Amino acid sequence: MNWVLTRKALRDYGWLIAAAALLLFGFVIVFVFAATSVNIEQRLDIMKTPWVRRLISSLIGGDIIDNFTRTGMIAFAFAHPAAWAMMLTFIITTSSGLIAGEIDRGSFDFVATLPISRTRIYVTYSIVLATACGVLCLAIWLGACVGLALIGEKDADLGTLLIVAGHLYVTCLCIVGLSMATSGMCNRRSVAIGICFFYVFYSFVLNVLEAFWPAAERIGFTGFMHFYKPLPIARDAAWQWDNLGILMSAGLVIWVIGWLRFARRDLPGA
Amino acid sequence: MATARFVRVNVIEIDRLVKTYGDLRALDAFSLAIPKGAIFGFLGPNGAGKTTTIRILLGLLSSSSGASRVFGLDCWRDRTKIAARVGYLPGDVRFLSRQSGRAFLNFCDYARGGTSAAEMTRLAGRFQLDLDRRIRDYSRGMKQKLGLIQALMHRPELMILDEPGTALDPLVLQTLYDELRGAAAEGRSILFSSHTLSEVDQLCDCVAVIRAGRLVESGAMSELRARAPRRILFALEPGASLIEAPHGAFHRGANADNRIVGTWIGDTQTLLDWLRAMRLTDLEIGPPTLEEMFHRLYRDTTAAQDGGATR
Repeated sequence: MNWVLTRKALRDYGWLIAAAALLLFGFVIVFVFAATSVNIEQRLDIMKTPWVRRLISSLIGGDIIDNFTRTGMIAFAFAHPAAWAMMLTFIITTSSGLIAGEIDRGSFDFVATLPISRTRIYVTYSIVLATACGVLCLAIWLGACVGLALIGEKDADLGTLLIVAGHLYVTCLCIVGLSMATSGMCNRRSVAIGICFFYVFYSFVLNVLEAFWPAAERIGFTGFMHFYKPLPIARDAAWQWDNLGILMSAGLVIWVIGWLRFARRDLPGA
Repeated sequence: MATARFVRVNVIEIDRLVKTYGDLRALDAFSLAIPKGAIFGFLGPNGAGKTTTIRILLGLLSSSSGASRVFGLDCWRDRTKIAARVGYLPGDVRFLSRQSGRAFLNFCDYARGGTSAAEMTRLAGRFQLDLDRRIRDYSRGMKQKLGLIQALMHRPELMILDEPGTALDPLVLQTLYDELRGAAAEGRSILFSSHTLSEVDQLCDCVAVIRAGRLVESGAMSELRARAPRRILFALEPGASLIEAPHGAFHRGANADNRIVGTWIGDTQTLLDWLRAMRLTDLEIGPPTLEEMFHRLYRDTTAAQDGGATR
């Protein structure tokens, strides 16, 4: 960990962390209002439509009709495509900018010729990004808390939602591992962004396909979404240690590969 | 001459360095030693391998084979230790443009221990650079000055400057030369890459010329000047004939106004003896010029390579 690099990363991307956190916080409040403003019959009717039911099931990892509780409904905010889009855009934009973006622009020469080892650079930026993801997950949870408080709802279990936020955080760490690795290995920011978005898109498509096409289940484990199921977490109010272990291990392995490659690679000029 | 100033301890030692990119050999068994306290000019045309050599010395690139050491430390393994004692100016200076010049310099200073504030202010004054403006508002020359301040402000033992004169006006260039001469007088060393001979001629004690990844000439500037060609121009008396110069020292060019023009590469006494042996009506002898020598080096090497490629 290097405080000078931490300050630099926060100076360059602090505004983005703050903006993403505020957006997510606001989005979840709006989501809570929207989810509770429609009456139960109407919501059930929408969700009984087969393709909607399957699509939502694929996103939250279980059948919402069987778990139609307030906590189950709010847990959907932790897997909502809009929330994912904001989180993933933040992670990929920031990580790719920290290393690959600076190599691409040519400004990384100044960082790489300071008396700070490449391992320190990689670890520091990873910690900054992991901490920022924690802030974003917390923003989602706080948004849910504030939203529920504003509508006077007391049925939802905030402790359980915090466990869901914890799972979301570990899923984000897995993406941080991938995005830092690609950033450390690429000379072009666009390539690093492309690789990450391709994998994320692949994971989402595979996750949806799993709900409609049983054959896709065989390769479902290759997407990170396969291991993130907010609804069962909300239903059981328990940590899914096996899924967390897989996500952490996969993220760590990719992160370590990225670190080893970054520490030993040539850094070309702009 | 300043050559007596530096102690014969090498701050940079490069031994048979090879760097390949696929089939391309950017450096081909390149060897070089740079003594402590020297202002060392590193000359070569674009694409000769100057920047590749510098990036290997800084641990930004690994070598394919051979050895490179700075302060006796391995450039790749010990790059972080070396970085603490080196100031580097990249050939193509790029910054994160959102910040001010001062914020950028403070970042570099803190990363090196935070002891350069006074020197930073002094250099900003010397180079007349407003540090409180955003870098995006800087001109090309101002960005170059910022890069130079960053490379010099921690008073490093070795400065590696890749084409530092780029975009600087003559007055600022003179200030830079003064700063570098001052640093060398304190026993600090400078590796100064350029493709402009006049820069190197004005400033450097020693020079190395690289072409297509190979060292083609190296030595003290005083030695090179002694070996540099002189332009000579003379007219023979009617009926007198041109005597062949000893050891092919005279390279004849195109005649001008019935006068014979050419260059002399060799010692002055032999030149005078050769001229005395002919009956002349007019004579002009120019000073030794490095310009011609380096052009010749570039041409000769290119011809040799072309010949090699044909074979």
